[in-house]
Amino acid sequence: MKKHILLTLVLASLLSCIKTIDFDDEGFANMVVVNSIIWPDSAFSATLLKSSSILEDRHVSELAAGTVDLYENGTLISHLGPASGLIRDPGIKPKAGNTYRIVVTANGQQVEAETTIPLQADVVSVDTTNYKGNGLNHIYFKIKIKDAEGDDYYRLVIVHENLVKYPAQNENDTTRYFLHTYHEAMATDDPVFKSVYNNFGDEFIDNGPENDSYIFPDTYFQGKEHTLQFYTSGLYANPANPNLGGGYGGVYEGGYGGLENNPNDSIYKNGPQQIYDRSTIYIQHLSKDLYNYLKYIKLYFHYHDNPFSEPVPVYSNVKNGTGIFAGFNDDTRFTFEKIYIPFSMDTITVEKDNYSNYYGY
Amino acid sequence: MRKSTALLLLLLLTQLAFSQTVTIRGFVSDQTNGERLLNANVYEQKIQRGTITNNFGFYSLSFPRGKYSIACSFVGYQTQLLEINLQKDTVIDFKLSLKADLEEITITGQKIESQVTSTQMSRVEISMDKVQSLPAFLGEADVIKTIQLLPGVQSGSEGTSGLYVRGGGPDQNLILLDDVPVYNAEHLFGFFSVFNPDAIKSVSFYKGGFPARYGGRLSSVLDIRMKDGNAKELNGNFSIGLISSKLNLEGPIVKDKTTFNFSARRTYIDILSRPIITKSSNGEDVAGYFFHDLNMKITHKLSDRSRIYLSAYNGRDKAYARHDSQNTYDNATWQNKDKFSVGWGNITTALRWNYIFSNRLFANTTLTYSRYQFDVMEKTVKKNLTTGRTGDTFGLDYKSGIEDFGMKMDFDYFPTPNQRIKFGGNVIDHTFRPGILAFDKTDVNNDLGMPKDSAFGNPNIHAQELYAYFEDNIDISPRLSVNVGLHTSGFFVDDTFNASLQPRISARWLASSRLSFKAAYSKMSQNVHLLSSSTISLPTDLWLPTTKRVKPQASHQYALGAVYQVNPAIDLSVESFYKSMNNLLEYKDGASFVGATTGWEDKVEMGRGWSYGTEVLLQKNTGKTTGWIGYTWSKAERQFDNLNWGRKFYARYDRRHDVSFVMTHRFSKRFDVGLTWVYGTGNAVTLPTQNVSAAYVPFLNYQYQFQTNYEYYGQRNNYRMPSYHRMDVGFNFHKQKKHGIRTWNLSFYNAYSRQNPYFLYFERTSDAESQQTGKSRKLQQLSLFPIIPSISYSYKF
Repeated sequence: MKKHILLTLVLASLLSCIKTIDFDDEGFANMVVVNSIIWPDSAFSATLLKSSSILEDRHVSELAAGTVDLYENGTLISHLGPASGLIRDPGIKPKAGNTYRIVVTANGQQVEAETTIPLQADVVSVDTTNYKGNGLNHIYFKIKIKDAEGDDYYRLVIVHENLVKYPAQNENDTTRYFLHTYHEAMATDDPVFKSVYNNFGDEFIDNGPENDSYIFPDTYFQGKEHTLQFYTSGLYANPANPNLGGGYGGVYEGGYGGLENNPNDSIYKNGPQQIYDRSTIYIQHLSKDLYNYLKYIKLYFHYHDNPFSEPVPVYSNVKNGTGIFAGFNDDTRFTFEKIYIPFSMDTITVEKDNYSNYYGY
Repeated sequence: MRKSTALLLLLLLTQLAFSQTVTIRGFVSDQTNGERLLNANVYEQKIQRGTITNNFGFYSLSFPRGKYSIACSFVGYQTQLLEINLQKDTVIDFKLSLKADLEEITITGQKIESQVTSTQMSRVEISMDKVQSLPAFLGEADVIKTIQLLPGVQSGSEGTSGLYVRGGGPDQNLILLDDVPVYNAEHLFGFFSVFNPDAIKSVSFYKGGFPARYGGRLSSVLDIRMKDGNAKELNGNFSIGLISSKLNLEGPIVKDKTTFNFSARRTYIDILSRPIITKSSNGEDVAGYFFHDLNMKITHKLSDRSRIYLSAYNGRDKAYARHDSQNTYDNATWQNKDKFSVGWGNITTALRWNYIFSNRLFANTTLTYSRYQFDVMEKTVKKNLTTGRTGDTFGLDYKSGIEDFGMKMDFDYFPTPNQRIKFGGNVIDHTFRPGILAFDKTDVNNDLGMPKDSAFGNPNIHAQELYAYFEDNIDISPRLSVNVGLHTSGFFVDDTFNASLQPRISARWLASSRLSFKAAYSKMSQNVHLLSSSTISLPTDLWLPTTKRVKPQASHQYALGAVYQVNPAIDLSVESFYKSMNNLLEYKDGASFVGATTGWEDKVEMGRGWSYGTEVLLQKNTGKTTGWIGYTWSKAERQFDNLNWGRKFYARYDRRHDVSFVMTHRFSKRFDVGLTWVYGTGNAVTLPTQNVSAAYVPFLNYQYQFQTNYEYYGQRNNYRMPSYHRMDVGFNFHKQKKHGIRTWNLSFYNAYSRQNPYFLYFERTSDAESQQTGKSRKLQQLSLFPIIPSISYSYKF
């Protein structure tokens, strides 16, 4: 009995206590948030928002009303507002090499940030090899870039376009053309990508986040040439049977859903037909601000639910507020396409173009 | 020519002066048990010149021939006064007796030991009586928890044994047990330290003004010496507490020649809980946790000039679980046996030899061994009892740690009446074991792709560390005393050699017999790093060496202070310090200790740190009521190029205000009380404070996952936890029995049950709470320990 009493005392004393403590959430909230990503030949835009209480689940941020002044190399080039939320100036197209400063007055606060649009990335050569693996057509890329002196930051983006014809199914129907656009994944063993999150694969418990935004610094090739090596997942249609499958995002040669590739099957008759597949590879030259933002926001999302990891603050270059004002240059680009059915844009109307939804703002 | 003549003349005069002096030397020891007393004062009262005993109780003083009045004193002991006519070198061994229990302090004109005269600053001696008489957490008196009550020292999280000294980190403390470094001084995630007070003779703690003989860590030195053992008779004590029992035995093996001291401690939560666990699992499961400590020391006097010591410590924590069950299927009876254990512990050994070469030269040679090991074992065996065949098996074995072999030599030389020189050197061979994981698997039906027998992990890293030092304590005048020294170290690892020159200087100016001013400067360097979580102390924390990429840590510390003897019993000291540190390590954003054994260099950042502050200590060491009041105002900041966007941030254990009140009062021979109260500004933690919308960046995958908002932190360690305060009270009831003294101790940890913050986190509110507050989340505080009463029984014979 005595032992049980002793044990109960020990266990009771080791019970921890939890209580709610006061937290001045409103005192912290309502900070001005400015988000603006700019690049050459795209209309300038910025989003003005306010931070919200950490104790609330608010999926839509509160808009901040205010004015925006934009300076180019120290000269005021645009004064916008008062307005709230998304503010655009279609007349302002940022230029490579120029430095931009944004000054926002909103919510009784003045915040500002500065960024420079880098020059376009210098590509020396592009080499491609087609090969087939796992039933898919792949393109193996070797792109040699020449890095400038100083710290530079890059991002590799592949945008895939897929124009699909949806034939009329009856006499009341009309033939429609849809352009589907998506961010194409790639595979790579190039260490420059793995170096960003140090995920070289020798950590058997936590290998860090995947660098799926394909950013990389020039740490390992500063001022020198470097050949980026990667291959696309190659979701290309079988040129022999361009009308196979649902026509969305390409067709596997090995069949879809276990069906044989028989053009005479009813499921394919009068089904969607792919007009072309097109991949555009952008070698984006990022400002340091955008590189940091992309790097740390990924780290944040990867680790913010992990109680053992150090907290990850998301990068911000906005003084007196938060958010990001950063630029990039994507003038360096290469396009590869496969046309399955000859077409002319003069004779067809693309009914839906997803491109701007992804790449606009 | 004139210069040469003058120099020769000076040398001759010096030699003449030396030849006119005589030396007294000897040891100071406890009269009752023969235990040598460290840092005891031996002082000539007329010419006001003296010294303190070294770490082996040895002293040496030189005077011109004549009559002298020499006092020998030590805290808690009767001062001994000796009138002597010195005409030749003389050996005088002082044997001091304890003051009577209730003796009041009396002012006799004799010098009372005080910090006023010492050249050393930022040092505190902790008496083991004080440690034993203070209230104890779960009845376990703890050296390190007593040190945490000193100004300039913070404890880290609730209840833990971490030491954060003057803005430094937990890896920057050199913890020595009989001159051997102890790498993990914690049991049970830091709630207890490994030092069993029964085995300890003395504790010296340095937080600045480091003497040149110490090196290898930036922020503090904790020098613990084990008891030699009673040279006169066999005695000891045992105690039974809520969670552990202890036994200490000491005595002569050969009277006045060979002594031993043996201490053992073991917790028994596992033994008490075993019947409950076994019963609730129908006898299939056994699980538990325990730790133990064993201390042993043997001392042998070879001659009046020579003595050897062998001391050893072994401590281990172990959590274990066993499962043994049977089941029947496919007309066969199967036995399933699982064993799992996690263990960690230290072994330290020191073999020392003292030799008095002359009246003025004392030498000590030490061979050291230290090992810390963390291990995980799992073994699963499935056996068909019907056929007798063994089925699937699985085995896992993981080991990490550090192992040192070392040799050091230390010399104390007393060349003139005004000088005390120490010099020596140390060589250590380190083996760092970052972790090897071994699998052993048999799968009779399937091959799941796992290797059947393989081992992977990092290979051991070998490194050699050496240092040499020289320090000279010079009494320039009766008022001015300085201790100048140089510590030089080298560290070989990975084909690189890191060398460091570390000057040290302390000075004391005696403004009056009761007031002194002190100043000190120390450069320190550290070649080993502790890879540890910032939130909790775990046995998985790894010691790793400096590498080509990870540079040695270094610090410069400046301190200024004054000590005022308010009355013979009370000292008031004020010290201000400024410390700058380089090459500090912090985890990168997002990194964690999980799996940190591989590629650890890529998980950390190097940066700088600063700390500065002022400490006030009012201390009373004698009389019925003893204790201290401490206050610290300080700041601790860090700056890392790749953390917090290069901006400075507060260190996690930055505390603006820290107060401690420590008191023991002896009402009678039969009853005394201990009380402590601490207050500290809340720790700095990184807490999100707002929700912010992410920017739209073309083609980011995470945006497809609807993660458009993120939590905003501002900067590292941006939020202050609520302040920390706690009172502990302990009552000791003593009674003289036939064969000794028995003591009942009743302690209350956190007497007013303050819910102190241990961890903060956001939690979703209930629907009712949400309707009431309009918020969907709330900030929660986890507190570990409410009021914890404990009782223990001890018997000293």
